[in-house]
Amino acid sequence: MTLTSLPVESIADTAFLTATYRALEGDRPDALFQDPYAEILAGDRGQKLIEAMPGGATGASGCAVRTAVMDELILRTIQEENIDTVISLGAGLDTRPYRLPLPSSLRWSEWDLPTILDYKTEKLAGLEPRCVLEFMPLDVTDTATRQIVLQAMGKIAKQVLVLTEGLLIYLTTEQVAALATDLYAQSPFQWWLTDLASPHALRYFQKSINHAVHSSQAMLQFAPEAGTEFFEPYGWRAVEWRSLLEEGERLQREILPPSLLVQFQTPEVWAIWREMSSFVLLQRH
Amino acid sequence: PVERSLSGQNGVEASGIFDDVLDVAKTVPIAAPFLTSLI
Repeated sequence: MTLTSLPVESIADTAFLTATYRALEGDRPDALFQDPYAEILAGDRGQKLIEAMPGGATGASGCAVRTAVMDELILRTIQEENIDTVISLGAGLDTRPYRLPLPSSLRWSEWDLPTILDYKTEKLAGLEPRCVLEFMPLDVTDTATRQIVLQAMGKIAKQVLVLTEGLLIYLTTEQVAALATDLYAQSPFQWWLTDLASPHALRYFQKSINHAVHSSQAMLQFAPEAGTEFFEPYGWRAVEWRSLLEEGERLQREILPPSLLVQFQTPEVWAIWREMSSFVLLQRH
Repeated sequence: PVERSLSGQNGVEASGIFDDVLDVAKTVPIAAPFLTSLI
């Protein structure tokens, strides 16, 4: 399915959308995190996208919960596993290298299309990242280039955490399998943090948001039937799994209206909803 | 932080349940938070 019935025309648009959602979270008195640079990056484009979204700003809770949970897992993994390199694939307008309390010696590599990284460089000019930040202007799905760069990084790094936030859902099953294989080929790549959609989530989006299928860069595709077990044949095992719905309850952000939650409390139905969107920490095995 | 907790298994039966759930959900765009947590 595609996002064509949404105001999103490309994956780059979603970067502006999520930056705006992060800025909205920071404005709350009970904010889960502060992203002082999100508003600078989001600009008018992000605000217009949100105004055109179904539900407008109500979607902010999903993005806020993902950001908070991933912040927690990133910081803990870096500290406990002596991570010396983070590779953020499809980094978009993420500002973690500027806002998280990271070790100054940490190498943080952001991969994305040149247009996104050029825009980011321009908007954040003069700001100091908390760690050693580098931009890799390339297409993450360009397999040949990806393998060359990963191999070069694998020779230098000792313990790598890979981050894919808001990326995998746009890829085909074959593309994710190839990416998992390429990451596993480099022995220092030990950890991989990602978000993950369930097949029910794609059906849900199709029924409730989108009724047309057209060609678009922003096509929603990856939602494996096998869930986290999809990654096992490629060398990656899930060691931690967080449900968006449950994390929303813990962090006091409404993911589903209370009137619906009451109706969805049977075990079978609850299992479907809790698996629709999740955050997974994978470890090389 | 919270304590660590160190799809596909529901099959056809779950699909039927899910269709019922969708009928309820459509009556209220609640998909937005799920979508924004994945894109």
